[in-house]
Amino acid sequence: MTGRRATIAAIGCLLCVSTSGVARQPQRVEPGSGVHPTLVMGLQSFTRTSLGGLGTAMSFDFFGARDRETLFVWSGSREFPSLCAVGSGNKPQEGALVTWRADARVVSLDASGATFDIRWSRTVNDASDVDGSSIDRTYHVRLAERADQTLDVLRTRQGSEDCDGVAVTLQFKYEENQSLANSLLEYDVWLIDRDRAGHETIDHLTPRGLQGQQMEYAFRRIAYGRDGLAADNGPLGLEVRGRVTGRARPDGRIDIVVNAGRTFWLGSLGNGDGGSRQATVEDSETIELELPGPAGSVRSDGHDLDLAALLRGQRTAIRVATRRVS
Amino acid sequence: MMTEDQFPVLSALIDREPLDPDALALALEQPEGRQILVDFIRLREFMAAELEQAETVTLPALSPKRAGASRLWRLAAVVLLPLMVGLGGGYWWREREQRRPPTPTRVIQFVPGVDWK
Repeated sequence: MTGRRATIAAIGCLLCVSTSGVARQPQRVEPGSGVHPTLVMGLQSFTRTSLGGLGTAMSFDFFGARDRETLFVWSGSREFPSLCAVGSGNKPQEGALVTWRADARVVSLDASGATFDIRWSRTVNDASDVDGSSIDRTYHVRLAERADQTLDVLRTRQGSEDCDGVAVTLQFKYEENQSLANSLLEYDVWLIDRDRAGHETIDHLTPRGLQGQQMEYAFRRIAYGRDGLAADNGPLGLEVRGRVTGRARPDGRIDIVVNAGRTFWLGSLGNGDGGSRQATVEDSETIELELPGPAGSVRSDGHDLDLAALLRGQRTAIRVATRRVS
Repeated sequence: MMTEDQFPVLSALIDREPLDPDALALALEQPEGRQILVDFIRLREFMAAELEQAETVTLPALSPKRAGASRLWRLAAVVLLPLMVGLGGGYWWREREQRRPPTPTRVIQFVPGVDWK
């Protein structure tokens, strides 16, 4: 191979690698302007009879040009030397039994969550009644919107009726643009299922929700026979359900996030998969999300039923039209 | 002189009803009575001929109005039936189209391993 050919081949390989790398990345859309990305760090105590005791929370507001924040939560003080006496602020508390510090930096934002670099530490100042030691961690994490993630759990040594330990949590959310916070969105959600013979089953729902509110949808179960064709009383059931979330943007378009879950049922045994896609659409625009072909198997009469082979040629898609009502 | 009271006896005679012979004799003694009797007989003959004709002629020929109404109904059926079928079909098609989802502006595919697991 000549030097020129080798160079071309090397560039070609690099392009292949970079292209495939891009193709493997989920498609995400930037959130519309006006929303405030917020990371909430919470500290919650729990007892042996209740998982929700005293709690405190502090928010990282990445508004404007700020892309990093440092926050503290702590347990105990000189006056209340208990792990369950919790507090929070933007400075550490002197005399605390344990202090958690988190430095968070926004890496990317999208319509359904955000990715952060988080360095956090737990500093145990008084270990006499704490079942743990100081630690330091660095995370590169993606947080889905409004999904609580547990960062740390720390228990007392002895435990008591009033205090057994504390949990540190993180939650990412968008504080809505004030002028759009009360927007009402209506979704037309269709399921279009077609078997390999071309028989179509269509189901339709119209959930409505406020700006950023997750709206659940569930289509009626579609029955398939053992020949892989849609049949009213077939033993194989296809169930599709999920959530749709929309957020009106100042430019009139709408960010939507569609979560879809699919389960094939055979009796009480099921095989499920699912995913999430996001898109920015025009008002009333209809988009279609095509589910991948069935994969895996379900157990039937002691042997596995290969879904891909049985349902070859079958197609399932979800269509969504989003409209701003007010 | 013939009076109005003498006419019923002549009518009873024509209709073959029971009558008073003295009253009949009195009525026939009068020229007007005889004339009325002749008129009665002529009238009965005329009615008998009409009835005989009515029994031998078919109904449509006797009812030109009915024939006209029938033609009107047939015409209405010819015009309205296709119209009603068209309207019903249009309604069915509209309902069917409303049940069908609109054509999407784009199709996005879930990719196994990337955004589908």
